[in-house]
Amino acid sequence: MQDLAIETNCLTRRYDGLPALNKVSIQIASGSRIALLGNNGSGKTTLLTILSTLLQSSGGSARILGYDVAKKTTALRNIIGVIRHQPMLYENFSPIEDLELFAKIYQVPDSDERIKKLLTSVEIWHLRDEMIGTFSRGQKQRLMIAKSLLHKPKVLLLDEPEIGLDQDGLRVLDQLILMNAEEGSTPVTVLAATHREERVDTWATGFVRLERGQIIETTLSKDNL
Amino acid sequence: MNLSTQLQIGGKLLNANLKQAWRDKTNWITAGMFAVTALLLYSFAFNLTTGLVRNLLPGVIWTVFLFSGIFATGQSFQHDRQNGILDALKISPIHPMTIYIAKTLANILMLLLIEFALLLGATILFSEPLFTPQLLLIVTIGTIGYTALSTLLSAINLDQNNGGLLLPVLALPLLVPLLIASVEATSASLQQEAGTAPWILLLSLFTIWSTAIATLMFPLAD
Repeated sequence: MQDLAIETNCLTRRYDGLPALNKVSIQIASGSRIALLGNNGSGKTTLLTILSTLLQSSGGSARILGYDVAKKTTALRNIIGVIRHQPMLYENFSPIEDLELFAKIYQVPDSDERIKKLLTSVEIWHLRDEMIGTFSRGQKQRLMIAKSLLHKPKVLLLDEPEIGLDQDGLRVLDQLILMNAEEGSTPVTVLAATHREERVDTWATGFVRLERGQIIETTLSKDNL
Repeated sequence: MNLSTQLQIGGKLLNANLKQAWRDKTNWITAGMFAVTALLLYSFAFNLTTGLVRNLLPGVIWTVFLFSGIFATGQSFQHDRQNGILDALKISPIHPMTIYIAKTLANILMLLLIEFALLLGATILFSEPLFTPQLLLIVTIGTIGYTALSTLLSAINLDQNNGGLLLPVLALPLLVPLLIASVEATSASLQQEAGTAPWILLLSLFTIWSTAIATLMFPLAD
């Protein structure tokens, strides 16, 4: 049995008594790339938000590489990379300023080199001194891709990472994150919510489909346990 | 992450908050303009020749400071939430208290800048010696106290649709003891009474209490 990267057990979250996530149990092996599918309101974002430590579950448990998500430990936060719906960027900073601050927070070694490499990889190095507030949605998303990889996380939790990206942007996303192809990197585990189901076959090793907070279909049982 | 590293990161975050506030001047310009306008109106409203203005100044000063502070700090976490920065910081290894302290310190420094400028202006407008070391000390202590609370409250009520309205309603009852001590200490200082020290001590105690409580409460604020 492979090591588990993400494990949830009867994970539940209620809003005003109504379950947004209802006893979801999944086990994802290290190195897997899992697509989280489902219509709006199916619970994808809620699941990712709980795993990102930004939301407390109402019941059940979740672990990432053995760390209890509810305890929100520093060790856990050092190993997850997150892209949410909304870009998490200082609008009146330049990409360099934003990434330098977070490189300091994550204590990234050789941060200048790392930042240059990532901004070059997402093809916005030429925008490094521009204010982020002037960026298009796609440019912000490229920067978020770079930011999520800054500290070389072992698990990536992505909420619709394709938002705003053109064909070139999608290629960058696939190369850097979804195909684990960052140069010299060890494979990371990816759990990514997406509505682009036609693209899932190109990058995912499995999928989980949610509806009204419950798993209705999954490929996890065979390959990822 | 040890204390020394947290302090280093806190310093970087403080610098980022100051840079952010400097570049996005909206709240600070609103606060500054309100303060200047209020001070000018008061100076025209009072009869400066009667000598009674000294009795009114503590109330005038702290009313202007309080509402400038609310304008300036009331939405200090709101921009961070809207940009997703607060989430980015919360999922990072940085301690929540470091996030709060860096934001509060940035607010305090920016507010003190406005307040000291106002004291200089008021010295000229009211012909009273308001830029004295003792008064600067009182203003600094009082500002630390109310900024600690208002910054915490700006984080608590972010998710409310009418958060901007809720802040003054929530903040004012909590700030009353601190404001009373600030006004009394300022009054004693202006009257050059011997009894300034007890009020400064009381003000310091309220400031320590509010700062400590706010710092401890911030991780639970969301």
